Amino acid sequence: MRCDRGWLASIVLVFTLGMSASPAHAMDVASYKIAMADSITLSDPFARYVTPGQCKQAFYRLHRAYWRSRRRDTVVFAPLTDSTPKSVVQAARHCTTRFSVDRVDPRQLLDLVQLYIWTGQGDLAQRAMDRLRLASAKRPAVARGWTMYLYAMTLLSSRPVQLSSVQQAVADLDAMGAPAATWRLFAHNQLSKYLIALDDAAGAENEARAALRASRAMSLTDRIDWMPRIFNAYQSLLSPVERRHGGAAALTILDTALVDLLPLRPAGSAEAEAIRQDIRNERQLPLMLGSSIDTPLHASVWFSTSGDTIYPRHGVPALLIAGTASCGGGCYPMYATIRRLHAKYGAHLDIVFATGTGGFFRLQPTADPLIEADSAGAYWTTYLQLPVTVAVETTSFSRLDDGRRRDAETVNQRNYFRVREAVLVDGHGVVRWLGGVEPTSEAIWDHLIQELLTAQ
Amino acid sequence: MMSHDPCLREPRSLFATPSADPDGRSLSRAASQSLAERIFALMTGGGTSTVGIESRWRNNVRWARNDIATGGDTEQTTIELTRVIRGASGNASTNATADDALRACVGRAESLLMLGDESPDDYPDPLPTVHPHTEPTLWFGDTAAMRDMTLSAVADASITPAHTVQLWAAGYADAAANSRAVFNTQGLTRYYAYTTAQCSITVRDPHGHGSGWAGVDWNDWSRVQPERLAQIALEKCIRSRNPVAIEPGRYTAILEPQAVCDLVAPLVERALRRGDAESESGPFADPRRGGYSRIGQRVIDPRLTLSADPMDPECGIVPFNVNGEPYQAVKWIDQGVLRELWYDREYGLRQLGKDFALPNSEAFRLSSATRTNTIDEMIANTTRGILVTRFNNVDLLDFNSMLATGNTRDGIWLIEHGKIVKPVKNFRFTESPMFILNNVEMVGAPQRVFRPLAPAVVPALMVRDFSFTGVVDAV
Repeated sequence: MRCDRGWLASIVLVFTLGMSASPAHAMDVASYKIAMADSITLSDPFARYVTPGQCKQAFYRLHRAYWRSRRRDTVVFAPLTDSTPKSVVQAARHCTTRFSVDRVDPRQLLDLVQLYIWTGQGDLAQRAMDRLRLASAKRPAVARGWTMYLYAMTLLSSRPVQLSSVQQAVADLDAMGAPAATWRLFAHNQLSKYLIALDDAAGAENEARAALRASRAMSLTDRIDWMPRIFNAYQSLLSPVERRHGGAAALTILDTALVDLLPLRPAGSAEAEAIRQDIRNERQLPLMLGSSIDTPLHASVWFSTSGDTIYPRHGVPALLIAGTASCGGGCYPMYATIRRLHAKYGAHLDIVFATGTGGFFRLQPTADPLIEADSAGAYWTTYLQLPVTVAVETTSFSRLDDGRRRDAETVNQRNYFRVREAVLVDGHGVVRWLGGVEPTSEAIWDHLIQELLTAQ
Repeated sequence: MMSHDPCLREPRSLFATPSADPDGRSLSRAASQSLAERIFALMTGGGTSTVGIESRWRNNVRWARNDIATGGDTEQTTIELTRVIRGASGNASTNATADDALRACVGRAESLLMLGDESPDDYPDPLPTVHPHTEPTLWFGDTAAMRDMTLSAVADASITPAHTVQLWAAGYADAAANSRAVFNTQGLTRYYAYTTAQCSITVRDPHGHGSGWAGVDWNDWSRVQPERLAQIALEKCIRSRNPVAIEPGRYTAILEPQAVCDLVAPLVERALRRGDAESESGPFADPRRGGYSRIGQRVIDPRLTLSADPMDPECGIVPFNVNGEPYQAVKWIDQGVLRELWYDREYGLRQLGKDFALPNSEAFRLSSATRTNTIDEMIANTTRGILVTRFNNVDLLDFNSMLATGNTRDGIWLIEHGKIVKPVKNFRFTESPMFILNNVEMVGAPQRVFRPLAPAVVPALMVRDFSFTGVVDAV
């Protein structure tokens, strides 16, 4: 077992990948921008569009184009204070000026409402919504409920989010009663997930329970059709219950879910067995919460350790993450979250990436797992300069009879990562949280780490 | 002012002796390289780029109802451009090589790229390992130098005898000089010049009572033998006149090579992907072990081998695909046992530890290692059966079984007691190549058939219990 191979890793990286590893290169956001003329002009990108729906589509594209060469992965998830870029709003507002709330075709009113909301024209949005309600008064309740659900989701996706408006829209949906039960399930579930991301556990629990109440008002046919969404509401309920009441309470939720959902599939069918299996899988998380893992992380090669290689360290909370170097750009939001957590907690929090070997690095096969280990470690610590310790296990594997490689479960996967890809353990090795690390869960990790450090 | 464009040249006299030099008909290696460099010079923003250039000169003639309908030659250069910057990609194509057209093409690719999401992980992938490719002989100077008079003589070779017996001839023939090139900014350079030739002849009874067809494609025009094809089509038309309707059902069927190709080609084109089989999809997924293919299992008659080799003297193909990945000699099915399925580079890397792909050229040879039989021998051994020239409108009904439907055409006869007794009306069939390749009674000698998309060398087959499901009135 070798320790701290940062300097050698740089050389291996150069040899293997043929580029000079410049620390400045990894962090130079300015160099990331494309040096070509931006063909999208914002003077009047909507000149061709004659309906609110077209303006809405163009809004999406403009928004994407704005972020295209900017590092969106580094943006903190803060929907209550985020705003849409001014240039995008101005251009979209210009498009809306050609429409009148009173004269636009009723079928286009919802698009107009959405456009007004996203461009911060709340009064006009309200007028358009009022006209839409009037125009659809004679439509079936199910159809009106769907429109109201879309309105609520539009409010939820606007930036900054007006949370009180969202909650009012959802309350209006609730007032529609049983005919809109399915849309109520969706709306409360989405709101619950949103509040989970803000680490408002009490609010998220209330919304998830409201989603489940709505599901019980659905017809049997709808419950059968939308069973996965009902299960998803139970999953949304698990996280705040675990936060507030602990793992045992979460297990009770899952027992309820089994009783509630199993009758929605034919007895003895493969679908019924799938439900049982899904719930068995979900039980792993609350079972693991609060448990103590005595075995330290296992690795053949370490990078950027604190001096020895026993992790998690006694007395220091640790965020352990099952990483993979081939994740590439998709993991940059996670890396940004990690950088912010490290900036806040520094040496008080260990962050450890645990990974294995797969026989290749990027598009090159690596016959020697130690070369692959060096490449992965250098990628995270030298190229990306992540403030993490890296533990690389040499993964055992076998070959199927058709030549395909099959990796065996590693020691770390078995002990730490069989349920989720990230685990927070306190200074005594007790598991305090499991989940994914990304900007939308950053608030939860941040609060939990703070609680741990305060408790110490 | 003429822009700098090596592809623009003075109009060519129809009476001038055409040059066999590739540069006269399709782009040479140097011209392709020069064109690619012009395109690369127009790009901005860095990243990597791939340019594929297909250049083709084609001389063709088309005739119908005993008259030449169209004829002439065309020249086209098609450029496919892919730009990748930090994970975002944009593609565009053009068939114009002037500076402003190339600039517009690059602009379109880069505009589309702007709509894509970049990956901030701009850590460059290592240079791909450029594996060498084989060098099949695919260029034949006489084919490249084909003259208009030759092709009109081809039409005449079928029109005159048809006219003599008051039948109608129709057909299409062409000869082409082509080149395929792939260049990228990471140093990959591929170029290949090749000729192609095809001839397809149909002879019809003007009263709608009979039809005969023959056709083939080669790289070398001298192997096409249009007079022989015309004779075959004519004889089939004469012998297929006044067909009678017989009951559909399961018959012993003698499938001429073209008919076998029409049924087996979808298998080669659609079913040989390893990822599909391991996703429990397609005929080569192991039904007893989810997530496994049937590699190593017998899947068709043990006499048959399905293979592909760019160096095959009768079935050669340009030895690399549009990405520059070389085609390898491969036996997909060896004496009935599935041995290989195609995969891309990433699959090869992650699953098999290889840093190259096993691409599918879609060319194929279906052959037998055992003694072969002629069609006459097959007929002589048939108590009651159907002789089929070819199929058309073959549509796949079910991917897992490769069950397909379509109809026969251009000559179908009833066989009884070892002799052809009468022509019959066309049938609709519902069959699968997996069924017929497991119901083989006799195998013929493989021969080249008509399949301009990708060459095929296929034998005639005598198969039992072929399912004809309906009578079709069409001739």
